[in-house]
Amino acid sequence: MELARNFLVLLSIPLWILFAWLAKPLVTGVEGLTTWTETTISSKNALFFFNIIAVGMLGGFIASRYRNRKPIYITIQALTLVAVLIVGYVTSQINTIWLT
Amino acid sequence: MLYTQYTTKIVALAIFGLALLYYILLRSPDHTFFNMGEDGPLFLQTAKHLVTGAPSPGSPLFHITNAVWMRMFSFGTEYGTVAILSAVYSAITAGLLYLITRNILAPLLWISSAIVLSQSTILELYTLMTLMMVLGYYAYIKDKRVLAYFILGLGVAVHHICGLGFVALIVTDFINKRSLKPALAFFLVIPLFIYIPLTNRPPYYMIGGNLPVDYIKYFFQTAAGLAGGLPLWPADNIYGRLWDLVRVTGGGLGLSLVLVYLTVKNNWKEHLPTLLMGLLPLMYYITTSDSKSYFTTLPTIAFLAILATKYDWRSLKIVCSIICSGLIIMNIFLYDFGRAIDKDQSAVQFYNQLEELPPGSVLETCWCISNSIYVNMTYLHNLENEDDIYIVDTEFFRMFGGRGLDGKLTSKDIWVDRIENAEKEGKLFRVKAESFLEGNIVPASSKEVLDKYVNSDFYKDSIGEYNNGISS
Repeated sequence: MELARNFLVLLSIPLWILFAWLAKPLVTGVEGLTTWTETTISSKNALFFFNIIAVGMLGGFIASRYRNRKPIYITIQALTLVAVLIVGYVTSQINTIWLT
Repeated sequence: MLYTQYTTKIVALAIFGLALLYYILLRSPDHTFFNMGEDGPLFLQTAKHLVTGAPSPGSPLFHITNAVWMRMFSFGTEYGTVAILSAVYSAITAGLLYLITRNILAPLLWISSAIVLSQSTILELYTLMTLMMVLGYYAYIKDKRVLAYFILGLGVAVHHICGLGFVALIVTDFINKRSLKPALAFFLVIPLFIYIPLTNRPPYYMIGGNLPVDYIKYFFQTAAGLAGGLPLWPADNIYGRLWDLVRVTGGGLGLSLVLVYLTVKNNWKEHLPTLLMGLLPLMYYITTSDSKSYFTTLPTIAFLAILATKYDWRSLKIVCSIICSGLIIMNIFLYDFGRAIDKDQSAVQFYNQLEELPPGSVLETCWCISNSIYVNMTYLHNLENEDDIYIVDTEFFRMFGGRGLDGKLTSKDIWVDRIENAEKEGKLFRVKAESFLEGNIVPASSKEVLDKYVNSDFYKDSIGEYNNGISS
């Protein structure tokens, strides 16, 4: 088992070097423009903060499952999460534009 | 014991010195379009003229540090002088990673990563952002929690990604049922943001004016490419995002991911803050940012490198260290500015072309992602030369204001007149570029510029209604 594990590890060495090599167009920005015909615009800060809030809300939702009077807690948490996501979606002004 | 501590510090210092030398040898001496350095000219404006920066969210600490540094030292060009700080921050991070882990693998993984190298050799804020996160983490594991939260707060004064470090620590404290009061220290940084209104003055390049609504627009303005990579938006992009993920993590951490997996499998709860600080920026990149924003994953490299050293598999660590050394040599051949990349200094050539334009020219930048580099360079040129080259670009429709030295061009009609008059006077130009790694300025006609923007379907459908509301 250990021999097989070590063998697999050794086999993955060239893969590491290959991925590092293939990262060059991404890193230098060469591939950034040439293949894209459309992109999406949005508010960076709105998305960021609502992502964080949504993660917190998700934690609250999970925590609410372990409390007494579960249905009430879960309903409140779920509704708040939905409200947060809707407000986040609206304020982030997501819009697709075409690069012509 | 004393000897060990002494040795550790000496080794950390040596790592710092060698990393700094490596970055300085490969760094970009002047402006560059490469390595996603589109904010470089903007950061030079903020360092030199103390103007407002990009809303991420304002980066006051970064701008103030640059301004002080620039007034104290000089290393070749002005750009090069400030850009060297990226190398210094990255080298400090490498030394700090050794101090935290007492294992050579962590700094080697950091230094050998191409995405780390790319941000350490240009004028950008991501190495300082990562340094603040690693410093905050260092204070946290030394049980100085108030200091840790305060440092992460200072990190937000560099870039909002540091807020993810705050989330990581508070989740850990919550799960371990520790007091959350130290987290309040995070908010002590708020007074530093007074920098934004203090530096917001005409010509209002970044913020359209000085009203509260202008600040709201500044913080919540849209930018191209963000959310462009969300796997479900568009749905067919999921393979592209997975490929980005493989290159960022597989190319940056490679085999050491096995060590990370084994560490976490062994005791995930003990390593929760490290894991979250590493994974949250990666999740942000994959779900929210576009592929070119790979630099948001710098903390991923740093924190997963820490985790890789925590598992006791000595032979694999040695193998990883040897490969990292090989990758460092490979990087020297692949990423050396002036030799391997940016031989023609295309960004410097673009800046020189700006100086040949007549005063009051109108320049249409390409309708493309990353056109902000052209915009930022033109604003820098305007500030340096007290010139007034007007920019027409995609942001023209989103912010629709704060363009030109008078800062009053908020109406569509004023812009249409200006574009048409510029054509009559031979002052209408556009950027001709196959990719944003080049930029040639050529004469343009008002029809092609207006067709591209005001008369385009995109403008009519998405922006026209909004801007008509603003104008009225």
